[in-house]
Amino acid sequence: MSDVPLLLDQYRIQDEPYYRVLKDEVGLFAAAYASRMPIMLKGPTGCGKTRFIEYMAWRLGRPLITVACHEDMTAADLVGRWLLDPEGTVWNDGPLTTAVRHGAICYLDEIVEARQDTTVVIHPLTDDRRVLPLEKRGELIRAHSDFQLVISYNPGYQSAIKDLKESTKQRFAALDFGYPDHRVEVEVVSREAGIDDRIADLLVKVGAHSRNLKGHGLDEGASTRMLVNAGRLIGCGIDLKEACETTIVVPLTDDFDTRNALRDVILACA
Amino acid sequence: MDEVDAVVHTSSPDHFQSGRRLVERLRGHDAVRTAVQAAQKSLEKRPIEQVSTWNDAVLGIFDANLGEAVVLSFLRLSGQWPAQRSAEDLVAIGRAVRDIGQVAGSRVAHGMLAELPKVLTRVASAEDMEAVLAGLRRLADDGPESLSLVLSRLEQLLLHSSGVEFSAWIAAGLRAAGGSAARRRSFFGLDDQLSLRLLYGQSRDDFTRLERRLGATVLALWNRTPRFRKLASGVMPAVPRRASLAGGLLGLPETYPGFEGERAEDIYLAASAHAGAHLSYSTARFPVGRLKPLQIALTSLVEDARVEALALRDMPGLRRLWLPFHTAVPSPQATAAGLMVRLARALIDPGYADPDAWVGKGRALFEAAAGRREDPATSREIGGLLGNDIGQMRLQFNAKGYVVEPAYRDDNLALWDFGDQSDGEVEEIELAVDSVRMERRHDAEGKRPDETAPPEETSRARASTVAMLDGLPVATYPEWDHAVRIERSDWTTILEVDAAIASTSGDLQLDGDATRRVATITRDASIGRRQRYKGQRDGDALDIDAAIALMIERRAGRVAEPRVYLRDAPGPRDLAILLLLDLSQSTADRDPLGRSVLDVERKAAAIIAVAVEAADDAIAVHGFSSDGRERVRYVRIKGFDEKMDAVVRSRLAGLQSSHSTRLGAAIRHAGRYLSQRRAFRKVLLVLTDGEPSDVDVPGDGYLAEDARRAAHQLRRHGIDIFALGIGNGPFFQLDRIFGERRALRISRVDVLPQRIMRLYAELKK
Repeated sequence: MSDVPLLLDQYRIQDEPYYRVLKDEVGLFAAAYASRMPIMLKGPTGCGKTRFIEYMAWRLGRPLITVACHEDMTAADLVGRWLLDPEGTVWNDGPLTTAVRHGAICYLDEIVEARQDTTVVIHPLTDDRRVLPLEKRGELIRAHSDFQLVISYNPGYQSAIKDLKESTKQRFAALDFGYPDHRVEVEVVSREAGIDDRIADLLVKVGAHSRNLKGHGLDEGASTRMLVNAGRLIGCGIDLKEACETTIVVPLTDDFDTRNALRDVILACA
Repeated sequence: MDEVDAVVHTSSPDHFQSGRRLVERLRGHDAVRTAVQAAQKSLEKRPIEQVSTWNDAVLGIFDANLGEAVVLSFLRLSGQWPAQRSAEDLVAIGRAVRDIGQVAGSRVAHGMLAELPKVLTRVASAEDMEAVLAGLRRLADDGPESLSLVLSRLEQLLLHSSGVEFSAWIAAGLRAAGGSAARRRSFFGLDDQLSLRLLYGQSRDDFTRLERRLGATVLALWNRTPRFRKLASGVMPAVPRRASLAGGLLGLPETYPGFEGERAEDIYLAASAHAGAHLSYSTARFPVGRLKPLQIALTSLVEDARVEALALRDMPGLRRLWLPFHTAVPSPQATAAGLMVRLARALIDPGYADPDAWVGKGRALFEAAAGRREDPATSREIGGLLGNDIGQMRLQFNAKGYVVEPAYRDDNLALWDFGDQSDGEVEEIELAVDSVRMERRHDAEGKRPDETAPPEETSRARASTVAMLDGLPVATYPEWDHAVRIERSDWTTILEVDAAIASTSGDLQLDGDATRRVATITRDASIGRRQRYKGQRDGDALDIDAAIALMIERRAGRVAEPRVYLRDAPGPRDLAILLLLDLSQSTADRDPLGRSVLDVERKAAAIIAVAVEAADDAIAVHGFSSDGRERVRYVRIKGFDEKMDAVVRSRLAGLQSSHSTRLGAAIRHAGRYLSQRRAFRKVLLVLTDGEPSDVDVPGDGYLAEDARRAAHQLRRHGIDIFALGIGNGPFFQLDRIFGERRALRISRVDVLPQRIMRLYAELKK
């Protein structure tokens, strides 16, 4: 067990991540962490959920183990599996088990992407028992006192097929993330992209207009992250129209009419 | 080389024989024989095979006993056949003349030979010719009485369509007429709106092409979902149409003459952006009061500039959109209209210099009001002042001929509140605002089929062509009497009929957003989550856990089956849906916004049908109403194998409400259609406004109980049955009949997507 500090070190966050506080989310999260309450970060993609949890992990001094969830993920990918070596078999802890055992924050990002029969493994961790059964090993791990579970969830897609079970949702406290106010978003974009406020202001306007199209050709409008990307290209000397085309128009949609509408917006705002 | 070929060809036995046959048959018919020889001479340069077949064709026509005149006519055509055109087409015509003539008579054969030569240049390729002839053959088979109607209009028909399009139009007409000779005559005589629309559908309609894009742009720029309306080009094309915001709709012209291709996009965008600016900033209407037409026009002009200025504050790039259309330049001749268009440019173009004092004054006034730009009253003030000036300058203002310039701006009708003006004054004022309005008033008097009037009015004004409660008796069904617990056999009779196409030109305006969302949900649900099968003997990927387990077993010395693969397979697919629409009298009831239940049913049906078809599943749409147990009318609107096209839409548009709702009988009959389909899941979705009832039964829930029993029986046979209750009623009986989880409510079409989602979620269980 002497290599535990080493094992967790790779997950520690050394430098303070830049995070622009919006409301009282920092205090709320800290309070939830104090009782190790499971937390759900809700909001559209690219709104700062992941940046926030990194910031909180740094602030609370805890290692952060992130799992990007996807459809092919199995329970074993989270919990662990037996592997083969020349001598026989050896058990390999999955990322969730590592966090549970050694007291890290485990962050399951975009949890709806995983199948529901995979995500149920977290249930025993999210009630008072805080245990993780490893059936294949015949072991029942009691969570380390520093362990906490955080998930991120994008409620925007409203699909009958991809959604969290009600029984899962109810185990979490939730923080809402959305697109920030204009002024705040300008700050974030200009800081992250390294561009001046004037251009950041323009990009944020484009983003705001694109969000009008949510549900009418777009699943989501442009995220803050996309605006930052556009800003970065502009900072490298790329023309505004082209930068937006590459980072916003083309990634958001393939639909001819919607793309043209976005181009019209860019033209109108510039 | 040529000589060798010639020797080979002339000794071909077929050719020799066909020529011989012809000569033999013509013995004794000297006139014909002479004509044949003359024709042969002019065809002698043609390839041998063509001549041979031509001989046979002539023989065919001769033997068909269509009369000498027909034969001679064909021979004349042959003699005049253009040298650069293959004789194969000529032969094809000859064969068609014979075949069609045999079915339809020699007059038609004559007609063909008279009209086809006139359209030879239009039907340039062999493929086109084949298509035209195929169309005529089809018509001869299924609608021979209409052949002469089509032939006499052949030139006109082919003016706008290719041969293939012509053939498709004939096929559509035969289908739309549904076996009725009278309707065929109406269609093929071009006496029918649907016929004209299908034929001229290819004509330039920029509005339709761009509508979706414009909707997205207006939404993105202004955060408003406009309801668009197409303003059809006027009877007098010389009077240009302008966009109009009257009636709370965003009306755009069908086309802007002179603006084509990319320029069309530019002007429509400019028009939509300008309209959006009005929607956002023109918050109040100006009362007309005692204003003169000139003052009204000027106030409107300043208001245009004002809303554009406000828009430019937030989106300065819009200037690039609008500026190119302001092309006025200073000129020594002064008319009121001329000055006005220069003023319009001065107000938006800071780089424009104009020496005229009045224009300068207008500019100054506008700039002075910059601090109060949000206040519409500034437009009234400035417009009034400038109007006085023009009056004093004694400049001509022709109210009748005035058209708003530049072309992308709207007619500003929506700005004005005409209040209790007398008709004469209103007319004059309207003339001032947009001279096109005059033309629209003519339309309203019934001069021509009206696309500008609301569809409901036109349909009420015309007599319905749908006969009530006709139909072929096709089946009888039992009915359940819950009071005495008896199922009476052969108690109800179904009369089946195919839906007639609409007699009006009204088309279904579908809510684009609902349509798209339902389409997405349907597509995703159909494909569904792929199901994963682990531990397979064969598959796409390695099941790591199973592989490890296998290795462990082997190392332990045990034998285990190598089931180490996993396979993804598509989720439940293959859906057959039957939409059953309640067509009873109560569906004619309108909600406070003027929409009837039947309207909602129509639209929902269209949206669902399009979406299901796009997801590659089968969908049929039927309707029903009843007048007693022996007359339950069952209307077939769209069959499973029919595509959701203009004909089906037209049938939907033409549905009428009448009589009562004998739901159980209709459910049973619909169930029969579904049970004949092969599909993984079969779904019956009933769209109704409430409780079943009929004239010959007591109102004690008798029919509701029967419907409940019918639904239950369908479920036992593997058919899922849902209901969409339309309107705001409590729908108590709906829950009883269909079950709470399967009786969904829908008050307006906007909520359709959520209901469809619920439906699919239920289906997945």
